[in-house]
Amino acid sequence: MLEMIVSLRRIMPGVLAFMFMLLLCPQASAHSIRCFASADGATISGYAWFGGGKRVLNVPYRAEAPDGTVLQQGQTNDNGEFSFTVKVRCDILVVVDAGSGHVARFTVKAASLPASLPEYGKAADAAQVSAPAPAVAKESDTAEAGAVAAAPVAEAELARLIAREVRAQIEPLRGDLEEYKEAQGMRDIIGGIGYLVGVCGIAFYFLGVRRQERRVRCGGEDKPGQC
Amino acid sequence: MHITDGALSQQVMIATNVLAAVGVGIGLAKTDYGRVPRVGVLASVFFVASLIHIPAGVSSVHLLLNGLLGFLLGWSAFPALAAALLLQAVIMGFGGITALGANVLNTAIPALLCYALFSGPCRRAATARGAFIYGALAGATGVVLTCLMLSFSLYLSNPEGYLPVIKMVLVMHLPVAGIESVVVGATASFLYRVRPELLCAPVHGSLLEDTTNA
Repeated sequence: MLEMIVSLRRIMPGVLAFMFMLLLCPQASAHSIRCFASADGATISGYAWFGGGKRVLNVPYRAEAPDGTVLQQGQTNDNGEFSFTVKVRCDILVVVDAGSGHVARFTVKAASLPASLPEYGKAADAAQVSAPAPAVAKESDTAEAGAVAAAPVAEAELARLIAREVRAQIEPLRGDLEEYKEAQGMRDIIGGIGYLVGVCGIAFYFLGVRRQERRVRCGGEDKPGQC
Repeated sequence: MHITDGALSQQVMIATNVLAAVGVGIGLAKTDYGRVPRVGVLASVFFVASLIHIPAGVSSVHLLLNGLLGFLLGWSAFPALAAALLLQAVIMGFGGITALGANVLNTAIPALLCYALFSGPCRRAATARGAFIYGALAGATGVVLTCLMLSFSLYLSNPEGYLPVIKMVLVMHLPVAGIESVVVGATASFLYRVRPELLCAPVHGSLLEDTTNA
C-alpha cells in the first residue's frame, strides 16, 4: 500500500477529490443535540435529536422557570420524546442534557400555555411542582378531558381539538426549522477557512516586520537565533 | 469532542483560559515567518476535520487530527489549535466560548507530547514505513490523550456526575483513534517520501527563541 504513494502529481487529484467530498459532507452537524417542545393545553411535549436526525434516547431533561427553579425532571423515552404538565404560566425552559457537554435548550413561551393557569410566583410553592405525564399524548388528553368539568364542554372541547390538530400539523415544520437553523453548510466552512487565511496574512505582516528589523540589526542576515 | 459552555466549574474555566493564553503566547513567539503558511494550512485541516463523522453507537464522533498538528508544528500547534477551535465555536457552535481555554489545552497539550515523543524519531526514520509507524503512534496518542484530558477536566468540575459519561467518551473514541492513526501515519510516510523538510525541525535554545525555519 505504501508503494502506491510515489509522487505528488499522482496523489494530488486524489487529495483534491477527497477534499471536495469533505465539503459535500451532509452529516456535518451530527455532533450536536437539539430539542424542540410545544404546548398542548398545559401539557408540554417534545423530543430531542442529534444533528444528523437520530433521536436522543433515555437522557435526562428538566424544565426550568425563568428564575432557574427546576419545575420538572425526567428522562426522554425510547423515542427521544418527553412530556409533562405544568401548573404555572411562564416561559418554560426545557433543557436536555445528554452529558459530556451536549446540552440542548428550548423555550416554550408563556403565551402558548392556557391563560387559566396561575402566573408563576403568585401560586403557593407546593402547587408549582408539576406531575409527569406519560409520553403518549393521547392518554393524557383523555385524562384532561375528564378533569375539565366546570367550563362549557362543547366549546372548550372544540377549541382544544382545533389547537391539537393545528399543533400536529405545525410541529414537524417547527422541528424542521430548528434543524435547518442549526445545519452547517458550505458557507460556514469557507468562512472559517477564509478567516484563518486572513489571520495568517496578519501574522505574515507582523512577522515580516520583525524579520525586517532583524535584517537591519544584523546587517543583512536573517537567521533567527543569531545576532 | 468539545466542551460546551456551562459544563465546567468556574475555577476550572478560569485556570484553563489563563493556561491556554500562556501557551498560545509561547507558540506565537516560537512561530517563524516561513512557518506561517504551514500553520495556516494545518489549522484549516483541523477546522474541517471536525466535519468528518464516524458513527459510534447512538451519536457520532469526529476526527481530531491534533496529533498531526503537534507532530508537524511543535509549539506552533498551540496558536493553530486556538484559532481553529475559536472559529469552530463561533461559526459552527462546536464547544462553548468560555470553555475555549479548556478545549485548547485538551487538544494542544497532547499535540505537544506527540511532538516531543514522535517528531524526532520520525525525522530520523530509515524508511517510509518507519515514518508511517511513528505517524500512526502520534495520531492515536493525540486522540487518546485528548480523551483523557477531556475526562479529567470534566471530572475536576463535577466528580460524581460525569463519571459514567467519561467512560462512554473514552469507549466512543476508540474507533477514532484507530482511523486517525492510519490517516496520520499515511500523511507522515507521504511527507517522508515527498517533502521530508516539512517534518518539524528541532527547537533550539531557550523558550523564547524563535525556532529555525525548516
